[in-house]
Amino acid sequence: MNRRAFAAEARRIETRYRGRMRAMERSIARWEALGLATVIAWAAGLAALGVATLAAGAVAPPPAGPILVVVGAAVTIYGVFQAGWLIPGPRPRPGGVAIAPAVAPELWALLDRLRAGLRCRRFDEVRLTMDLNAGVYAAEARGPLRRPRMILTIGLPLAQAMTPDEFTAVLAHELGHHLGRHAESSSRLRRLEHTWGELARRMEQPAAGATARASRAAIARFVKWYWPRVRVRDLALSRMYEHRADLDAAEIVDARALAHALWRLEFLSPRLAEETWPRILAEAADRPDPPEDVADRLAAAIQAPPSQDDAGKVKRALARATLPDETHPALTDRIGRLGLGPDDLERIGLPAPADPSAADVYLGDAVRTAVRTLSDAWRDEARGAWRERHRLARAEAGRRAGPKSSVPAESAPAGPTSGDARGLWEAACRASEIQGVEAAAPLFRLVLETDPGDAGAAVALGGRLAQIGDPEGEAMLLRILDGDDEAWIAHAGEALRTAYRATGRAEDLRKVEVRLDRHEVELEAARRERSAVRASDRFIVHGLGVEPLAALVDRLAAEPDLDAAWLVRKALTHFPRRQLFVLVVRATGSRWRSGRVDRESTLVRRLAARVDLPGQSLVIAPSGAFGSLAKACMKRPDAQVFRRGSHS
Amino acid sequence: MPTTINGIGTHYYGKKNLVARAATCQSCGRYGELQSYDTRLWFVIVFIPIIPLGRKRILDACPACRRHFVAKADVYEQSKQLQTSDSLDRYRRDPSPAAAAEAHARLIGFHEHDQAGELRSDALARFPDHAGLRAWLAEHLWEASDFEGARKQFDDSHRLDPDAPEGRVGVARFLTAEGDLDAALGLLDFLTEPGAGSQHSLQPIDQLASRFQAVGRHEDALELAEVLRREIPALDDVHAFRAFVRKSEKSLRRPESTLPPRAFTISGLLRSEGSPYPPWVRKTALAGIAAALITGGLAANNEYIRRHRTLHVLNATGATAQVRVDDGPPVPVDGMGLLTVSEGPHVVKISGPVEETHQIDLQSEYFERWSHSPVWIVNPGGEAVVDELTITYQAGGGPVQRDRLVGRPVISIPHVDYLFTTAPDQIRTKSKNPVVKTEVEWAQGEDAEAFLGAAQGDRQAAMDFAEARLRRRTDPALLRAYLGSTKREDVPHMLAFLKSGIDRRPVDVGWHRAYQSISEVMNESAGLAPYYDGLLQSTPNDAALLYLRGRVEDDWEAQASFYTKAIEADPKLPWPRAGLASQAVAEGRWDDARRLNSEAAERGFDDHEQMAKVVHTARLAKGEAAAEVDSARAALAATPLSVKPLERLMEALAASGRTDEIDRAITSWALPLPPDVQSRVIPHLKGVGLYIAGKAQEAADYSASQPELQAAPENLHALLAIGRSGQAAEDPAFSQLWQVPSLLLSLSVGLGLDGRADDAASRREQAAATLIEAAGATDYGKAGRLLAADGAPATQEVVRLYIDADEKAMLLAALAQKHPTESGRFLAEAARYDVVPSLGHLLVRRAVEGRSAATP
Repeated sequence: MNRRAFAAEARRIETRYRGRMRAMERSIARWEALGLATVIAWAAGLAALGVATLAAGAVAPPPAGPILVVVGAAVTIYGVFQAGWLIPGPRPRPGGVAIAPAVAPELWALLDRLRAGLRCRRFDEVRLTMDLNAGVYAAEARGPLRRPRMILTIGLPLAQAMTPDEFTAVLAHELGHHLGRHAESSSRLRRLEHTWGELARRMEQPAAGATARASRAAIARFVKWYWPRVRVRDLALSRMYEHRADLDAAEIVDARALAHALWRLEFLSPRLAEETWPRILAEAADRPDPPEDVADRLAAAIQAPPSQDDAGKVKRALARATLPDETHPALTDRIGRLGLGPDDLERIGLPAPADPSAADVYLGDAVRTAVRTLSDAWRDEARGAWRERHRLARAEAGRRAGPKSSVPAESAPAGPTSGDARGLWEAACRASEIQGVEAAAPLFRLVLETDPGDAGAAVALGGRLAQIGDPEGEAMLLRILDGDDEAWIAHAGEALRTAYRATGRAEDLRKVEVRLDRHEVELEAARRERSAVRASDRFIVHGLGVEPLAALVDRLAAEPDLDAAWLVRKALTHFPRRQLFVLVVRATGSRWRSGRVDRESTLVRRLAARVDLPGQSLVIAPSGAFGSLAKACMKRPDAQVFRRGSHS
Repeated sequence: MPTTINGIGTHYYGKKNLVARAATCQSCGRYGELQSYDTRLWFVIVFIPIIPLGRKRILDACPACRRHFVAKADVYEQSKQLQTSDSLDRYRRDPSPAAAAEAHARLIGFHEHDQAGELRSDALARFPDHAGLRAWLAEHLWEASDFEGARKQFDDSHRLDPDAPEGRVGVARFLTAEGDLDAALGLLDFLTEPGAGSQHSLQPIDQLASRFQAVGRHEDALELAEVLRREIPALDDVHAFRAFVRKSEKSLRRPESTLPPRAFTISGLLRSEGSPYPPWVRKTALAGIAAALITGGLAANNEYIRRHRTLHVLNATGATAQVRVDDGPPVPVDGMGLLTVSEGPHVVKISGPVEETHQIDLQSEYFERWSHSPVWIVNPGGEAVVDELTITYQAGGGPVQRDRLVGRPVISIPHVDYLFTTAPDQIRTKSKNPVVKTEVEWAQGEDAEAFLGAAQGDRQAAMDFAEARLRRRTDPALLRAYLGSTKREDVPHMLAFLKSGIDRRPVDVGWHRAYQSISEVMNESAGLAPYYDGLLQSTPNDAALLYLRGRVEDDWEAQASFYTKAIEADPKLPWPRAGLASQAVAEGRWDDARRLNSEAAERGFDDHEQMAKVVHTARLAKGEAAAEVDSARAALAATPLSVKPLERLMEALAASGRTDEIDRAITSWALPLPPDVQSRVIPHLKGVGLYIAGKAQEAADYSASQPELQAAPENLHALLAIGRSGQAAEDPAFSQLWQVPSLLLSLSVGLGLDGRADDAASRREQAAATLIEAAGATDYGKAGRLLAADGAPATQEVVRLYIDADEKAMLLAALAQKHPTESGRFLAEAARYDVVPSLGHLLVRRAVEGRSAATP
């Protein structure tokens, strides 16, 4: 299913199930059942066959009875063991620090109060995390017949950013999820995904025979059909859940507080993602280990007053529309359901830092411990990537400091170098990898100044510019998108897609997605077109320039066994700029003379490794398996490029 | 992979464009010279290529395990050229390290190692200081098992950028293999840092830890294991890793393990990959489940067999029987019925044609339920004929033992291989020992034949069967067989049985004849005449009663009168004519006998054997032996294995002077018989053949040479014919024969002819006494009394006895010896009746001719 079909399906699903969340849940349950039934069909079928054989064995007369019993037992066991790897593993536990009621009694009291309002059961556990978010998770139950443990995660930055009312509204929203058992529904689907993932992993191993290949092809077709449809429904249901949780929260808290909370997150999230985290990560260039005070830095970033940049972020957020591949509805859609509009938010303006913050009120002293623990945990988690980044930065610094003593090159003659543009491009890529695209932007610009046609640099720089709303970036990307450099079209399209999503340009987003869909189809068609050359293909004049042709003829003349050669190009529909040549070579001597097939075969092997043509090439001989293809190529009157005796 | 079975299947032929490289086989993991080449796949028969199945490119064929990859040769060639040229073109257009590495990988992947080498040189010349490129190339070379090239590139990569992980890992890999573990650990120290697992593969640490453990550096091994556990916590649940840690902890004698307790998981028992359980636990679990399933399944199967035994009901009564097992509902059974019952004691009640109740106990051993196929048969009235065949299969054919099970209401056989199906003529067996199989068949055919077969075994059961069948329907053949097999001890029972049926109406002539015969044997025939007279009073014109009355009439003329009246009463009744025919035979009126016999036959007289005997005797008496030869041959063709037609043929051949054909006739007749039967029967027939051919001396010599004939009547008669009666009388081998009155009589005649008058008289008296005792009021008993009487009987008295002509001739010869004064008339009559050249014929001829011994 391509992007366009995905979007159409999403629209159809949303229309069909609008206001019918339970029907949607039932629908997705049916799809889950189908997915589960399909994935366990093999194992269940085997086990059922085994049990049936066992039962038949139990009532069959000897000697068939005992034989059937043994066969049935073997098949049953095989089926059971096949099912073994389909059993999903335990549900993942969210990270963070557990907050017991004794540690943060105010928080638990607040939760109890809200819980009483919504009449839902208590959370089994509350954990503080480093996210600017809150969530509900269904974790593994403590017994086989017990319900999953429900865990509420609260991001410490979230608590530090919110006022007590906003925080209360967010928790009420999470309780809405809890009440509707949304996490359990999602968890089921994640486990199904895990099972299918396990199946996919096993399918990566080489197939043992034709049956295995056929069954894999069938499974692959099913996956291609099934998962996009489930995904559409899953995402639609997630968005429904968000609206439902918002409405449930609005029943027990002030809807405006919830809107304020969402409003605040709309500029704080990009602030952390685009400013704070890149700044922290950029320090990897100078220090070998991650900072110890990351939680404090996040807190500081959160509590900084709104800036002009934030206003831009908020403007983007208000322009953003809900997209079919998102789990959460856009801000305007969410507040719209709460009876508010963008004007209300603009009237409020950018909220000032919370003082006191919800963390101060509800977490109290627990914050200090949590900050330390969370920072340490983050350091442990980030250390590997941090050190790799630091290593790269050090190497880059060394590179800039001056050339090393190079390893002696092998005996091959030194070839042409790629020039400054190549060096700049590599330097820009390294800088982007270490310090981020923003830091590497000047280098990319330098690359483009050196080589304006460098698609890679245009995509990297254009993507960055387009993301912050700079029309120059969009123009750069569109140029690549409309070109025929198939290596960079997809990258440019994806960069444009990201930019349009961030800026809420739905129509432009749709157009880009259509273009990307078309490009993927073209890529697949091109792959098929270039995977083989047949006698039935259309062949055109080779079109080689004088110099390359002369070089080729010289190369052919150097082969004493070569009598004549023909060169044509396959007429390509997709990406014709990359050419595909067919070179037919005929050995000297009578066609009836023995050994000619072997001589031509040797000639083909030698020339296939030696001929340099600007594109793909296929060297064949008139004898052997490619005889009909060779005849089709030799038929072209202008195809012959070499004939011994006529060459001087 | 191509496969052939007995030379038929698929096979590769030819090997072109061979490329060989030293590398590790991906299938068996052995290091060797892997070959890649073009070949052709053929369908072969006896390894001769018949149908080409296409050109193939064989890739990396392992010399050890023969496994390889295979692709269509032309498709592979196209893919190789198009893909490698594409990569090389990209590299030429954009000569970057990444493009070089991609093209290099592609060339290595297609085994274009020379071209890859050229590209490598070119790329390294272009990017001499690019550590990453060297690491990539090294990785490709490592994958292609070019370890020397890989080592050089890794070393160069590491020298260029000592911090680059690829180079460090690559060099460390070689150092680990070389045993320089500390140096390797130094290079891999970045992988031991927290968080390294999220950025790099920790496989080098794993390999290094294993090497540490292998060389006994367990502290180091455990330190690296801690790194792995920290980075991949799920390893705590992987058995292989836990075993690794435990091994080192054990070696260090650490009292407590750092590993957490293993959590129980079902899925862990069911998968090998990443399971927390050792293989033996998983195998034990597997074996446990298998054992439970198989044991449960087999127990269920055994119990099912126990509860679902088949009780076969073979109802041969001709009427529907109601069979009820225990308290179950009655089940109608017509023919064969199958009732499912559990093992154990049951009460089977049969109603309808018979009223019977049987206690039947179905039992079998627990394990025999699988190894044996027992059969339980309920046989209402015992009327079904069941044959149990024990067939021995062996090279050259084995014996078949047939046990005829008749008259048994319940039959239980512990094991049957072929139940109501015919066993195959041959079976294939790997054993050289004979294989014995059992077949049970429902052989409901001719009751008489069944009775005769069964009588050789369980005589009482056979009698029960015959009586049950006769009670249901008077089958003349069965009745004759029943009477024919009479033993003295059976006679009272038979008389009672037959008497129980004489009041049935309409009068069953066959039954009454049988009853009369048995009554005569029992000397209880005195009351028969009044009985029939009484019956005739109420129905004076009942032809059957008139005939039966005639049969018990002592007066010859009166008897003939009753027969005549019966014929008048019912001209269609065959019996009176048969009676008159018997009178004619007795009196030697051969033409009358044949005529009357023919008339009886026309009216349905069904004792074919008797009729044939009459015709046979009459023809030989009338000198029509040649015609009798043809007649006997025709009869023999109709019933090839029947002995009586053969005897008639032999006698006819002897009478017609064609004695040289007798031996051929015997051989032809015996040809279809099984070899063991042939070996038992043929000597007797040959002995008889020689005798009746007049070759008494040869018969005696032949009998002496055949163990089977030592105590046989053939030998006795041969000796008597050649005047060695004294030897015969004293030979204890013949002692069993003296219980037969006719043989005693023959001996007495022989002794008389050989001048041992006293011995002859003694034997004669003995024969007479035996006849009187055994034959009662029958004509044989009368013959005994005539023989025992002091005065010479009238000729007519002897002539009118209903005994066979040859027996009558011998009797007359004996009477001639006893009454020498009357010997002329007796011998004249003896000559008249000595018309059939049967055993005794030569002796009678001696007596008639007055010779001391038969001349050959």
